[in-house]
Amino acid sequence: MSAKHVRPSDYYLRSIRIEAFGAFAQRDVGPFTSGLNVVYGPNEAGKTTVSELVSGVLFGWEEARGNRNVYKPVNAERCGTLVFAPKAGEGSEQRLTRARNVDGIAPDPAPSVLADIDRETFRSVFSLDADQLRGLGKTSRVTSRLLTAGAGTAASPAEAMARIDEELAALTSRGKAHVNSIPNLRAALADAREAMNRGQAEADQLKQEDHEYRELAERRASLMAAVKKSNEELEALTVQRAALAQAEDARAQLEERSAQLEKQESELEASMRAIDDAGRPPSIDAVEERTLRAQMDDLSEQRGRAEHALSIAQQDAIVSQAEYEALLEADDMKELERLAKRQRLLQILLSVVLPVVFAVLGVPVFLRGRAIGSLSVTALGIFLVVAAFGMACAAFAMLLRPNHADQERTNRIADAQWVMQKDAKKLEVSKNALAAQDAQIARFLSDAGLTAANGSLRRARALLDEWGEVRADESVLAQRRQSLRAQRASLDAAFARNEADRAAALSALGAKPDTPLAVVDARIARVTEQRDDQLRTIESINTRYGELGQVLAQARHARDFDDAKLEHAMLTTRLADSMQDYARLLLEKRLLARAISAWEGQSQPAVYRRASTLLAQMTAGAWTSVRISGEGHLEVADDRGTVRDPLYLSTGTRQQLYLALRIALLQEASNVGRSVPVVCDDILVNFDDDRRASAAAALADLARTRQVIVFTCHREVVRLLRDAGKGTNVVEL
Amino acid sequence: MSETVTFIHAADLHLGAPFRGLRALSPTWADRLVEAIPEAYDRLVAAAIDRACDFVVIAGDIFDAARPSYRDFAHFVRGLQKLADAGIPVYFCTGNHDPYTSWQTSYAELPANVRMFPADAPGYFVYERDGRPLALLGGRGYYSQSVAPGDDIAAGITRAAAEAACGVRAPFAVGVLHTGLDIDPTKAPADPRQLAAAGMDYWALGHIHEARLDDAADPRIAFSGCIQGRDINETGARGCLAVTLEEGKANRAEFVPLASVVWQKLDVDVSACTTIADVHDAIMRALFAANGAAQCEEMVERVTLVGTTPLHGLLADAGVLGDLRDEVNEGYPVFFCDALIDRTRAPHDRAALKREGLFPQVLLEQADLAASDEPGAVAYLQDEFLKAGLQLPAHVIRGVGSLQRQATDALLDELDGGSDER
Repeated sequence: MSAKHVRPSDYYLRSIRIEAFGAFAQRDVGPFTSGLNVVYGPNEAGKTTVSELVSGVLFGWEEARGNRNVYKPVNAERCGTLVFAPKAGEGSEQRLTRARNVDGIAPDPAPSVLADIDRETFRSVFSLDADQLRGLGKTSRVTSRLLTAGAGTAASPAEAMARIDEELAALTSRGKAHVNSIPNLRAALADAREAMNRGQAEADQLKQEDHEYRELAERRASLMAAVKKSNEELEALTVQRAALAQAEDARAQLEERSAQLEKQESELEASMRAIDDAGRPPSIDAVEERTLRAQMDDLSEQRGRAEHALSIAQQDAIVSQAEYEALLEADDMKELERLAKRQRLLQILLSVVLPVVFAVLGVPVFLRGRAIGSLSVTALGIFLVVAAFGMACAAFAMLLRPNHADQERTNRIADAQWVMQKDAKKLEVSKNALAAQDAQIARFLSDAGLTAANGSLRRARALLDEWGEVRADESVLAQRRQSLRAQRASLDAAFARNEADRAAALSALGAKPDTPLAVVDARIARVTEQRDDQLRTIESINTRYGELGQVLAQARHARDFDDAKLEHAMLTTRLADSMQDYARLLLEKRLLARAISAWEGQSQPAVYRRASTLLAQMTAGAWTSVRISGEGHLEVADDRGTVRDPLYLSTGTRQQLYLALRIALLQEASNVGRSVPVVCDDILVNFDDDRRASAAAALADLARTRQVIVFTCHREVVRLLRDAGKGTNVVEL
Repeated sequence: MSETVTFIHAADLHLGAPFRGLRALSPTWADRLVEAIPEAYDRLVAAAIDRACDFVVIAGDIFDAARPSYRDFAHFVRGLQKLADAGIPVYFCTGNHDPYTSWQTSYAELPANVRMFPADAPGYFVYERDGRPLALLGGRGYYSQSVAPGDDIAAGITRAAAEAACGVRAPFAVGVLHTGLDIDPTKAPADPRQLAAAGMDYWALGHIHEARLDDAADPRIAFSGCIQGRDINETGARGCLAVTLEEGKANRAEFVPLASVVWQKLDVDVSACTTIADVHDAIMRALFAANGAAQCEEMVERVTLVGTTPLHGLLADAGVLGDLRDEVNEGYPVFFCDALIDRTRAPHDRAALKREGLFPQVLLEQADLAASDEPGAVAYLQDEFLKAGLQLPAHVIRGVGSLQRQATDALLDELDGGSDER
């Protein structure tokens, strides 16, 4: 083997430091050499403790399970340090410490001291006690491991195989952590395919919706056109209906007016007839009438004058006659004379009596006044005397005036008679003049055709006035008739127009000339309903149209389908990758398995050859061959051809067989665990003296390539080992 | 004066197609890629309008699926409407992805400027300029997903037939077909010699996704390619052809790039790199170089690291590789590294390993044995897949040799993982 020389990376356990382990604390064991070491100590000295400590520090403390004594101190934590030194003498030492299991080994990661040795390998091959040598235990797996581990590779093929198995398992795992495992990818792929199908279904759905959208758009457009048409029709209908209604209203008004007109016409006719019945006055024109009136005025004036003259004459005649008659009334005049005499008498009486009275009175008063001396009474007396004197004078004068009354009365009667005769004459003349005037007037009036006036100018005037009024009435009536005729004409025109409007409206509606409004209304109602129907339909379409429009607009930007396709494509790629990885790993596994089996085929015989030699040495030739049977079982044979299953060997021989096998393995797999010590805890107790010596020799031989530490409580074993190897290092506990 | 006609020749728009071969896009890039194809189509429309070309020919596969999404269809029609508004007619035939049958139930009436070639028999159209026939177009589309093997899609499409059908003569005649020509024999193949003999001035073809001209100096039979590459196999610039036909002169077809996202496959040799940072720099250098060459806006690239490097052990760690990829993607948003593949090799001295006579030797011997027995490997995989309830995919069967090599390398790497060379 090429690995016999020491490599720079090889270490050996130089000393053990027990920080705390049960009864032991702060204790150093060692130093050891890289070769054969014997640790001697009596029972209870701590041999097993120390060997357990080595295993514990390297691979973790054994936890208590069942009744097994794991040497766990009851009252303390375990803690130890292994000091490794380089075999080549260069480089620094490595100190490996472990306190509690959970803390792990320190430093972590541990230096390459342990290399490819795991706990199982260590316990079954490196750490040997009497119990373990009773069988191979789990060593068959370890054997393969060791054999290939010692195959000149850095990592052991068994590890590689484990790694491959792990990766293969990962690739077929359904665990969520293994995102690239085939089942997971397939599931994801199924999901993606489902999403794609959904996308496809959605695309199909959209395709239908698009179709529907287009159809709706078309329908909507045609409906809108229909509505537009309906509206136009409706508008036209409404307009024509309004025209028609207006025409009808107008017609009614026209008819009313016509009726009024008719009434007025009949009234007019009645008036006309009345005038006719009343007799038509002669027709004279205004000039004639004026001339007539002027002449009548003249005549009237003349007659007035005559009348006036007559009247004065009559007056005069009456007056003069009356005067005359009055004068003739003489009785009256005597009476008057008697009256005058009586009056004279009275006057004389008065003119005598009064002054006497006054004088009678006055003189006593005067005298009395003088008598009494009263000035005032005197004055009064004076006055009364004076007044009586004056009155006597006046009465005297009056009595002295002459009397003319009779003379005068006679004169007057003569005068009155003359005057009476003159006035009678004048009256006659006046009467004649008036009669002549009246005759003239009558003549004139009859000439003027005014006989009805009976010669009265006043009546003639009244007649003229009457005639004038009739004529005026006639003219008014004529005017009214004319106006009525005009109105009638315009009314007729209006009727014609109205009829034309109606006809036009109806023809615009395409209806028969006599169609009533109700029919038009019915038609409007029908078109309106139709239009409303259309609008409702549009409305219902609009909702769906809008929905679809929105859906389609969104779909134009929807990327779910594309995303699903991309996702699917990616998953397909990844699945292909995983399939390929799986295939490659299978090929690796196959190749590795074949290589391992080929390698074992080559190397195992070497192990068994060496084991045979060792067993032969240890059994002093009793058993000379260790081999694998055709069925794959371990068996031993001697020179005579006796073959035995290890089960039927004695305890000692069996232990020797397994010791030989392990030493052979350790020697053959010299590359494995080069820095790990082989720890033996009193393994030679069941060996007889010769076999013990041979075993010691074999251990010493092993110690040439590996560090071997043998714990023993037998001095003899110490001696044997010291004899077996040069430089055996003895450590006393 | 000699007549001239210009038109845009496009094909394989594949609207609604997902990008293939991607693994886990960031949401941003997923958005970007979903928009990439519609965007390329918009550019196609814009190119036709900007160049004021006479008409546009689309030679099939407008949609990626017979039942396109509403969004895609609406987008397509919007583009057509833009062309219609610009007075540019569009002539198209159907392809295997969007066969004639699928167009019968179209979502909407296409604008009036669009003419579809029939699928059951050749169809002909006349393009007129100022009332005079300028070009005759003859073509035929796919009726269903495929054309029957005996049915020659190009049969009967000749200049003479076009003249007879249209009843006029024109200076130019253009054929439009969706065909595999002699490149893809499964999709309506046609004989280039037959096409050349049909008297057409130019054959605008579709189906092949990269631009191919039979003669760059005077193209007569051409594929415009797709307008946007969709997977790592459709690398480089994609777009349409702006074709100019002129009497008495050679045809001209100018490639117009339309794709906004360009795919690139890059092998980056990292053998000179000593740290992961070096590897990153090498990748970025390669990206910029490729980007410069492609003149694209955005780039999706698949980077394969090659070369023998002691970094191999590090790169084999999926975490390291993932981090590196993230770093590359975060650096420049216009680049998206779809996959960063480690194909580096550790500096294994295989000959030495074989001489050493250790486990690797046995492994290599076994690997050699396995490599010589690919059917055995396939049978084994078939078995194991069946046990796991899986169907063995065809791509795995095809790649079994490579997988075995990868398996060997991975094992050697792993077994050597703790070696001193590291």
